[in-house]
Amino acid sequence: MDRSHFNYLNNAATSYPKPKRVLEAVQRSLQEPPSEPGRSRQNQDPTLPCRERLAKLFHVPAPNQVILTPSATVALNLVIAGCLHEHPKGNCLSTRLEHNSVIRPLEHGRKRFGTQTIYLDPDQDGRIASSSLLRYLDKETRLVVCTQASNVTGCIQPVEEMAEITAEYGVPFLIDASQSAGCVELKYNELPGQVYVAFAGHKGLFGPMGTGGLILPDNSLEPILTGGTGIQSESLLQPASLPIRYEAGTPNLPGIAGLAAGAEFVLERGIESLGMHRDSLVRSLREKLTRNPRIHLSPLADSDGRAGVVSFRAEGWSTEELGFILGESFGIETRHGLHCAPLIHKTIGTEPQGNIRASVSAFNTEDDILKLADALERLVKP
Amino acid sequence: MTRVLEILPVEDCFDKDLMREITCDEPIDEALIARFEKNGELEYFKDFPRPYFKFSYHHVCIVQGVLGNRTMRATLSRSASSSVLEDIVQLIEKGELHGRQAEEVLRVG
Repeated sequence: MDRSHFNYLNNAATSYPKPKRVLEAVQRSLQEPPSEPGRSRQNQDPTLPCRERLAKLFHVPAPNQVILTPSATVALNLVIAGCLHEHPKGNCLSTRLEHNSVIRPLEHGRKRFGTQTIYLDPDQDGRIASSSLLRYLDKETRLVVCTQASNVTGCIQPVEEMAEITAEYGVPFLIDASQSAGCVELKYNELPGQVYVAFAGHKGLFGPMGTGGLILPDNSLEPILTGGTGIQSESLLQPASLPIRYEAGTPNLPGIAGLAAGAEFVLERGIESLGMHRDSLVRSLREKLTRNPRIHLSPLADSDGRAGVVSFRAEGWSTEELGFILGESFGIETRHGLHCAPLIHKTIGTEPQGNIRASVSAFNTEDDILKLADALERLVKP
Repeated sequence: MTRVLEILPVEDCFDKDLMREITCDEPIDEALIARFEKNGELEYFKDFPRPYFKFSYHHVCIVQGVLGNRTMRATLSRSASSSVLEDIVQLIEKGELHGRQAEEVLRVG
């Protein structure tokens, strides 16, 4: 089947299509003679525009606090392994909403460093009560990790309130903004304490796959990857300066150029405006699906759809079969299953099959929503 | 008659060691769907934008696909014997089965 004619509703995995400028930036980067930061004769660091735009988007004081990584997963591993390596044992606090890119590093931390993780349950609306942190935070807590928006439910979490609490206890706080970057505002300069923000480049920031990053307060984390940086080559240890302390190896310059163009697109459109667009589509779809008593929507606190996710299950169909039919027969690309977030499905009653997730982006319209709602009306008779 | 070119495991969110994608040398047509109907339980949704079928073979293998595609998806139950996929291939390629009984397609033990 020709996938170019699909109604693409899988933007929570990877946004599609990309703004034209992203394609042009990647192509331009590949066509021009290579220039690498610190290694070329050019004065201009080719990664700087990307860092500057991301710093502006996240309200980060200095662009060198933005580390560019191949994915949010690498960024999350960098913080989790870095924190636990320096202070083994103890405990971590996280939530049942998390993606495996958080759960697996934490569980490997249990094996490698003896650090136990407690996973907090969301309330009925799908939101973690920030006060629930207080029940478990103690002097043995090494790190708190929470997603800003669940990739399963789209529910936005009160990370600002959580940062107030973790700062009070002097515990580092890692925010996974993979699903929310470019969709939901996050003002890094207003978050107190030692806060890290990991983000994906290929979702709400419209960059290519294989891009992501980490915002960090300083260089205190032990780097988990070391190697060439193009500068300070006489040193046998990883340089201490940011951002190269955490950026060993040749960077993905075409990807970074694409991410810079994606970030520029988001800055021009505005996070609030893009979030409102997603929110209106999410509300429209939820309103249509709610009319069918055999379709069961996952919780979404305050019906806040800025992350652009609607997930559901339908009586009479397995999620695998329904996802297959929507894609192959109706030409609507959604995602079905556990979405790499296995713990949340028990909480929201979608274990063991998971659910269907429809996710929208800047380029979706009400027409995409109507097509999905019509298809489900035919497939799931009330 | 249709020929099966390859059968590959499907990678999915779950541990799908029981799911296979069957690729044929020509698109699935009404004649192939009719052959399925004669040899098991068939649900056929002709009125879908691209007609969809689901064939259950002795409740140990579900084959689903769409008219016009060259691929279809087979999901085996854990109790299916190793010969079940051979039966499905024979059905696709020759239009008939060995006439096995339900207990013959179940894994022993």
